[in-house]
Amino acid sequence: METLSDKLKPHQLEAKPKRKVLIIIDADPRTNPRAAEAVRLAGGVCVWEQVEVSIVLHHAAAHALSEAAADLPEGKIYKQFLPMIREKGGRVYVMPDDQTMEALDTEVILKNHLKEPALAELAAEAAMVIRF
Amino acid sequence: MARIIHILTRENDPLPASIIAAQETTGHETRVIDLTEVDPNGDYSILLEEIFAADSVQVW
Repeated sequence: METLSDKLKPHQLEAKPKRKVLIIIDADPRTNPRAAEAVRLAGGVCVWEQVEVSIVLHHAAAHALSEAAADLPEGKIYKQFLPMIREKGGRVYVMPDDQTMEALDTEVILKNHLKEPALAELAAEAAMVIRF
Repeated sequence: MARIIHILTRENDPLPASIIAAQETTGHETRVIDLTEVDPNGDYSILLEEIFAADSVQVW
C-alpha cells in the first residue's frame, strides 16, 4: 500500500503534470513599463519550474518581439527573459493589432500567432490567467 | 470541461467578453464576477469560495 511518504518521493512529483499559468500582456512596451515587468515576472516564475508559464503579447505588447525591441526602454529584459521562457517549455504567442503587425517580422507572426478561439482554449487549460 | 471563474477588473473590456463567449461555446462552465460593480465593503467570501471551487482562475 502506498503511504503518504511514498507520494512525496521525487519521482512521484516529477510524474505529475505541471500546472499552467498564462500571462496576457496588453501594455505597450514603447510607453508602459508594465510590459517589461510582466515579462520579468514570467521569467522569474518559469525558472522555478513548478508551473508551465506561457505569455500572450496582445495588440501593442507584441512590439516586444519586433526587430526594434532592443531599442525599447526595457529592451534588455525582453532579450533576456523571452528566450528563457521558451527554454523552460513555455510559449510566447503574439496577437498583434493591424498597426503592430507592420512592425513584426513575418516569421515571428507565422511561428507565434494566436487567434482568439485558441486563446480561449489556452486560457481554459491554465490554472491561472493574469493580465498586465 | 473546466470550471472557470472570470474576475473582471476593467470596465467595458472587450477581450474577456469574447474569451468567455468562446469558452461557453466549447462547453466550459464559466462564472463571472465583475469587481467594477462590487462595493469595496462587500462580502468577498463568495469570491473566495468560487476561486477554490474553480479549475481555472482568470483575472482580467
